Amino acid sequence: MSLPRPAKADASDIALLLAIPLDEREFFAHVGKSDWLQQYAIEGSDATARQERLRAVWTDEYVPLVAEPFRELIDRALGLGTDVRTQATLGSLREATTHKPIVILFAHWKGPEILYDDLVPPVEREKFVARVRESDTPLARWLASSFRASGFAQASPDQAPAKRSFWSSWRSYRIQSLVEILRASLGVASLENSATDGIEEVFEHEVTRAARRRDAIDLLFRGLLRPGNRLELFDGLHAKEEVEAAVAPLFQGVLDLTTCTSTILADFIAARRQLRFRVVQFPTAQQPIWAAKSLKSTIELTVQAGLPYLDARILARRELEQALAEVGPPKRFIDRLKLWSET
Amino acid sequence: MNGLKRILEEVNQHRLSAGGAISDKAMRALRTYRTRLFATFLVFFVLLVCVVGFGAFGLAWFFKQPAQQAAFAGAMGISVGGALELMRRIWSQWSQAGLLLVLIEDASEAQVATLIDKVIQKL
Repeated sequence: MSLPRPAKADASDIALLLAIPLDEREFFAHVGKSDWLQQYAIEGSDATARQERLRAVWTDEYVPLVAEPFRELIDRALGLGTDVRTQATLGSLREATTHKPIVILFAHWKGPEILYDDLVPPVEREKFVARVRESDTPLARWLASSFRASGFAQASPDQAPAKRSFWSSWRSYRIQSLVEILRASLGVASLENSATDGIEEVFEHEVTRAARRRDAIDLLFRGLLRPGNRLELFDGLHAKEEVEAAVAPLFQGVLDLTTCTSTILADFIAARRQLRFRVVQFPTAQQPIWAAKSLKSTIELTVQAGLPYLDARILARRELEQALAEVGPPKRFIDRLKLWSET
Repeated sequence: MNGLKRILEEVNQHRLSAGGAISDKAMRALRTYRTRLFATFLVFFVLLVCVVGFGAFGLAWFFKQPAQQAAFAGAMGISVGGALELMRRIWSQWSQAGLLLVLIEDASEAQVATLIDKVIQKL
């Protein structure tokens, strides 16, 4: 099945939604509460040292790799007459998809990874153990077995010890912490895949499996674990169901999800909307500087060269890759990007 | 350059990707690095055993030729000594990576980021 290719568009057909901090005040305000920027929420008693460290991060890392490339993108997009909305929320997405046929969204995607920060304090292992005992899903059984093998959960008297191979016992001996066990469960293949299903084998990409498994884990440990698979906008983290519901019901254009591993969200939206519109999606993490440069070229090619948006998107990426290849020597991707953006 | 430092710098490069988490990336990279170090260590160990075996044979073979024996012993000293030093370094990196993994496993993202910065500075 194929969708008709969207026709050419002009600048007024495009909306650019940005859901990341773009100035110093926003950056400082978000460090404490944003999932994306939590790595900069430096702890410690010395407030002055914390502020200095944060200011250094802003100047040395965030400005050149995020803020500046996006400011350039905004200036160019506004100059061409595109609708630009910073501090994007679910409401912005709803409004943009109601009025514009091409909507670009750049935001942080909180993936399926289970982090120590995801544990809701106070962390009590017993509560996790109790939850898996109450459930009878293959995932809960696997977790119960791993908890027992790691020594922090005794088997209940009526529960027969799970049979484990030498290899799985050795692996679980190495796994000690609660977070490690939960993390390991994201990647276990064929948990739900039993012979009784009548299915011989299921092929699934590891990103898809991790996302699906994370949803199951979130359901099992509701209230004990901060959920994953969320889109971070300026009004907080949103589940894929909320994002899909925010897209205007009659939207039939192109939704460009320039977020990390947006295939998860895109698959969900496409399935719910029965492929009524096209979704630009990415299977891997997105570098903000790359995304900004790529979107800038795409908008220019769409508005100035009159290319259909999807063709412009592909061409912009190819041009960017070629430009990077021509920059040459530095082997690191980020260094090449920096060098290229300076030339 | 120190292998561990290079790994951590590569992890740091992706700190501002619009997705993923630094602890997750660090753990994946460190685990892969440890596995590679372990495999390299095993290869060196096997080579060392072979060299020592060959050396013992050579010394016995040249039992009545002191000049040859001295040359053989010298070559063995250099190669075995070099291999042992390399293995010591590999083991040391393997242990450091293991220690970092233990620390990162149960640390917040902010703690992991600070830890990586400090380790890069010190290495």
